Amino acid sequence: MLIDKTSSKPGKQTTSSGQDKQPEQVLLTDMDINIERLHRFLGGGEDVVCRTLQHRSFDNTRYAILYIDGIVEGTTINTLLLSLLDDANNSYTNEKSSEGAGLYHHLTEQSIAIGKLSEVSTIEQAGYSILEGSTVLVVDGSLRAIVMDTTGGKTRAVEEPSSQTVIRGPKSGFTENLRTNTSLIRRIIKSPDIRFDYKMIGRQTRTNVAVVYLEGIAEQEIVNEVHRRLDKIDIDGVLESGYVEEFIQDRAFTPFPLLQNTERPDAASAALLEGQVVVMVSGTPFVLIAPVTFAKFFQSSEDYYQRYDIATFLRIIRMASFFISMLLPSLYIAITTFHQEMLPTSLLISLAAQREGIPFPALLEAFLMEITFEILREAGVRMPRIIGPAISIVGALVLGQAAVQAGIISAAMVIVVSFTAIASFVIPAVNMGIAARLIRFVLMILAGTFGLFGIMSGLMILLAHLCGLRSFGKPYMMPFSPFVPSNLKDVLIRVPWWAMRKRPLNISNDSNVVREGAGQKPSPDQEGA
Amino acid sequence: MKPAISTLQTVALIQSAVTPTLVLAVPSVMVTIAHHDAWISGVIATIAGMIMALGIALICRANKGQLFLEWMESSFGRPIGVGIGLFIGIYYFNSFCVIVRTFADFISDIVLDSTPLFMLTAIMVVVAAFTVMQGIEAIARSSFLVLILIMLIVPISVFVLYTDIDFKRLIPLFDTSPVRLAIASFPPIGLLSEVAVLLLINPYMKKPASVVKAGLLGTFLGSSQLVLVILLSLTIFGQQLVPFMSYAFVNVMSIVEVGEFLERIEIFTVSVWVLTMYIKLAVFLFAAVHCIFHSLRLRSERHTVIGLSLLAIVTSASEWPQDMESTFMTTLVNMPVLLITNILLPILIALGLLVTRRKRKQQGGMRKP
Repeated sequence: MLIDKTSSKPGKQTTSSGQDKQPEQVLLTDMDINIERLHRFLGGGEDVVCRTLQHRSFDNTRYAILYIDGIVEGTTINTLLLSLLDDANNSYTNEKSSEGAGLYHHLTEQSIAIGKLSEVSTIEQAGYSILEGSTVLVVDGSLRAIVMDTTGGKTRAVEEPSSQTVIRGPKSGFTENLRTNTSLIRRIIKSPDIRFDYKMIGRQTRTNVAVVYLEGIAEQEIVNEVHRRLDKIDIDGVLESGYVEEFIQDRAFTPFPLLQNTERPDAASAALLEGQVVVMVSGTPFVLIAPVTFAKFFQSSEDYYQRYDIATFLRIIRMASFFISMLLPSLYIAITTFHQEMLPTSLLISLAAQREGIPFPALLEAFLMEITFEILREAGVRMPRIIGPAISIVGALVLGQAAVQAGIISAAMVIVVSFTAIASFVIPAVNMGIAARLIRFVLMILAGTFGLFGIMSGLMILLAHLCGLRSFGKPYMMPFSPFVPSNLKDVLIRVPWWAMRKRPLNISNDSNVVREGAGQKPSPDQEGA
Repeated sequence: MKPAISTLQTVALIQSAVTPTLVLAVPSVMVTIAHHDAWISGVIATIAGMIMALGIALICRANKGQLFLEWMESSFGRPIGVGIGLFIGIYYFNSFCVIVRTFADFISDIVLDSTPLFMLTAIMVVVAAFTVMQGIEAIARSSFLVLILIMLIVPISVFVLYTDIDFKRLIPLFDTSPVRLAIASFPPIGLLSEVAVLLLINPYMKKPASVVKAGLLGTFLGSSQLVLVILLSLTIFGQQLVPFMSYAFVNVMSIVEVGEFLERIEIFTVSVWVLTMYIKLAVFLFAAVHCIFHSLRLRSERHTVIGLSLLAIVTSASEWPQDMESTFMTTLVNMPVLLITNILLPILIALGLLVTRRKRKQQGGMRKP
């Protein structure tokens, strides 16, 4: 059987609720009416191409192909047309039927040089297929149409990810093309257990979404929950995975990310191998990973490509940087405002001398500097790259040095804010870094009002909030609390690969957690054997 | 979905429910009574506390997974069940207010002497209410993380204080009369009786069968911190100075000087202690909300938390005079209430359960053909 009669897309595919509520128009035997209706469905436009042909062997029966220029693969269309023209001029004497239905069967079984074909029977099905980049072939006298997968057009090539760069490791990153992204995963995981379940979300954009997981390794309940949450989404458009993330995360009001995102195929593949589920959205290189825990945001792909001791050291640095970026300005405010007795006398005198003549209290001073830095950072992101260094110079020299010389800001505060900023760049996950930035301002207010007691009160709220969070039902603070000792091997420290025999418990399918053989620790005995 | 707490988390909850107030003012009171043998009173209190924990845990084992008030109602009938629920709910609410006030007085004494008491009580209640709104699971998980923090801090504290410790200050041993030792152990026994909160927590445990282990270990951890604080304060300052200290554990840490660049680090010790205190507040507010919510058959737990919190802010800030003696309040005034609610009431419940069990067995036997 050459043709899929059930669906225009392969594999498991569903559409989100709230779509296709109008009655569908079936295809008629009159090809001209079908073409006219398809044109109307597609809203006309010069990019909608319709090429009509006649077949000599079937009483000059007419047939036509329709596609949208720019979203199809040009070479595939040319090959298709060549094969059709060649076939149309040939004579077939042994054909049983000379009507449209006969030509339809002939084309599907003997003529079309396209790998993936499917069959549709309504104008809507045909129209949506064309909108997705397929080419539809309609035959005069036939109540069905052939959908040929010619998806293509110009897309961005596979490049090095811009947001998650590594020194050692694969340099390829996801692109905006879903098919390219699935192929990148397939090139890494060549397992028959990998599953790609497709969905379509967005009434207007009809964005393709793929739910990817490894059957038997991912927990089936989580896979079902991902499907359930995706199926509930009813929105007119999905332009990026961030749209989906906001709909499917466990809690709406939290500064912390409850889903991980990555543009690295190796990171997504590693997540799949650990039993997590990946959600890919067409049109963005950022894929979502669920479920996720707090500690995951401090791990980088590179941790697994370099020695475990270096990786452990870097993880501790990252975790410390997170706390520095969140707490340092507030600690400075609290100590200089409320707890000066904690400082050694020499340091206290030095700080007091610096602050002499500064017109603002430490809280306001810190706020001014932090807000200035946030503006500079945002400007640096939005400005054309060529102007970026100029912003740095303005920030460092004009606002930093000049503000200190003018006696508006103390030098110690500049050091604190600079160190905080550098620490915030160490966090591998940008969304976790943003959470730390937001929390920093709240803690600064608490420190300026209640000193260290205020900071501890803020931290208690943060702790309770973090402990109450879940990602697809899994506790966010796992494996610290609830305490899962076996998962600690790859959290703050990373033990060598040969010591990580099991996948993380309570994340993957707990009945299939062993991922490597026992007794692989390198030893001199092995060489002698 | 019913929340589930692990055994370790229950240990941490019990530890947090008893320790913060136990180490705050009690050591000075105990040293005042039992002098340099106060640590022995601490050991006596530990043994008594563990016996109480065992008793409470055994009562918990009779519960087959029902919420405490449901269990009381099904065992003794609705009026008695509601009565017990309201009584315990009011007790926990009152205790919560007393602890908030004690906590606020402490913070005011140690760090924020200019901040209005109302502001301090308000922020404390807000933090506790927020924590309770996250659910008992979140409180339990937070308490476990705080316990880990304590486990890291305590050895470091002992290490940095090691050079100041002089064990000669503890001898001669058993110099104090047994009566004074017994009297000195009375305040911590009263506070250790707060392990009775296990009755409310037990139904949320993943493995209710391990309630005995959790109760004993939690009490042991809490009371061993008390003994440690008494030992440190006695070996560092001696029996003459400690009675003059309002908060001995703070004074102990205030003498630390690390490499002549970091001094007066007691504020960090206080900061960690603040976290344990918040857990205690959350546990008590949770208990109050739980009992009142279920006894009065209220509809919204969130609104119950908000209502009780508002009442607690006003009560804590205005119920007692500005110069309330927190130590006196927590150690002696509260003692009868503690003993009635945490010891007498559980004994009555245990007796009641024995009587009703016999009755139920008899009824079951009569029904048999």
